Amino acid sequence: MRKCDKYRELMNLALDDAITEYERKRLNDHLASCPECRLVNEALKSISEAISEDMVEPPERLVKNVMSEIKTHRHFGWKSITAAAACFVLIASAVGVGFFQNRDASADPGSASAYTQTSDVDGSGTYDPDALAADADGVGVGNGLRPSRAEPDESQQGRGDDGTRTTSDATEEENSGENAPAASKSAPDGESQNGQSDAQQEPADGSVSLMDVPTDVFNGMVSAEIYFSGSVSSSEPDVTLTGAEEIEMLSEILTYEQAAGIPVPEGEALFTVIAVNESGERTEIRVWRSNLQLLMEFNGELYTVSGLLEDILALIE
Amino acid sequence: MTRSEEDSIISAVLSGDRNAFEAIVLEYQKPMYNLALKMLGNEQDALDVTQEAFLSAYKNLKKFCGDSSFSTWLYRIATNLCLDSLRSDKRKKNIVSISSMRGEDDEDWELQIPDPGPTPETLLEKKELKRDVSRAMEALPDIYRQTLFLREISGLSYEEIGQTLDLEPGTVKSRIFRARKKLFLALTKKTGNFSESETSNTTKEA
Repeated sequence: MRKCDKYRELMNLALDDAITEYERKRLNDHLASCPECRLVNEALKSISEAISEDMVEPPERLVKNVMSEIKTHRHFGWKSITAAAACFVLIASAVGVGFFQNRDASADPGSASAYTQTSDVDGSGTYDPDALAADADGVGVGNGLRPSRAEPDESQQGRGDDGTRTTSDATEEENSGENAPAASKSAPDGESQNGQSDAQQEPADGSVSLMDVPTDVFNGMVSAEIYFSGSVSSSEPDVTLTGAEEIEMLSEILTYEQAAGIPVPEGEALFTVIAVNESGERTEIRVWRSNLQLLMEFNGELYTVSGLLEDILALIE
Repeated sequence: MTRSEEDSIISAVLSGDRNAFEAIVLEYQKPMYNLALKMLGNEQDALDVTQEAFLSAYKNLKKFCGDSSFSTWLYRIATNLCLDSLRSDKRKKNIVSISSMRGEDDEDWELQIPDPGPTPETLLEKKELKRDVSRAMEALPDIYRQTLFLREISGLSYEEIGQTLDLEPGTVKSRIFRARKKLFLALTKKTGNFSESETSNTTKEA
């Protein structure tokens, strides 16, 4: 190590305001007698300045985007029981409808059309139930369970069974069978005994609190595949989550908040989650991003979810 | 914006005045955006991440507890979002940058200046400097670039950067030193103001 090396370190400390007075004096004394170090010191300062000065103006829309997002954001905390109930209905629908509607998506390329067909929803956030129903393999999806129409009591009822009864006829039976290993997140061998484990999530007073909802989306799921690339059916998942905790965290992140009020974008989603249950059935959940919010696609509509992209990324890290 | 101005804005936002947040965005958008731009390398991602960072700060404002300065807290949010974004890109492309995995460098500071040498002004002409530095920055391994940018743009201390990047302060310090050294060597090599022994030193690693 050359004797000048230690002064190079002091130069850096000086640049970072981390130098002591004593060190600064030593550095200055040395600089006075060492032309090479003087040169290096000046160069380092210039580089440092060049980096900090080399800033561009951000796009004008930045402030506007942030502020408009903030103004539509519900304010600190979700207080409304009605809203929570509506949220709950969505979850129930997601489990009941989304599950069956989408599980064959990877096997049947044609089923992907359910999404593209819904891209013509208008700006008000309404959707065309027929577009989805036509593609739902006979599963009744037009159950009318949309947040604005949801009755808390009805939702409570629907969920009282197994969280999937909001779907109709044939699927219901099929599902109750599949739901048996619902609690198997911690028992992947399927020996767990019931699908009733979520019973404790029902408050006695009939209200539905937000915190009760999220785990249901992935209830009974043993793994979640995450695809960052476009085609789900033709590629390997980028990440596969198999831990019960991870799946639960994912489900919390992807908890519905409210209708986003914008149509489902055309083109690729930001990422796609395929939740896989014990029987290997797959639920596809597509997640988009609008400026600042994660948006989850369901029934051809977009909803904001409670988690942020960073939560997802932290989870799969 | 003074600390007390900042405090009163934060109080106003917390008590329900959403519009008050605009002052925060206006104050910090430039460094935040530039930090993101440097870390992510393209404008769209930088815009997205900056917006996300502000929204996240807004949503989590209650959790800001004055332990650090508000700016530190903001930069931390932005940096983490940038890192997440980079990680997700890497994941997406399944690319692991070899250069960023090479942790330590072993260039020597030794400059072997043959004569009193060029003055700093001729060595690093202001006019072209920014461009050259910017280019040299891009060639730096990610870990160095991120750490150095964070330092230069945010003015955070080693400790604060360490908290942001989940690193020991000593690691932060050495990364910043190495980053500057690499830049210095790259720039001086370009200008050809130093001897061959120096340039061979810098290429040794590659």
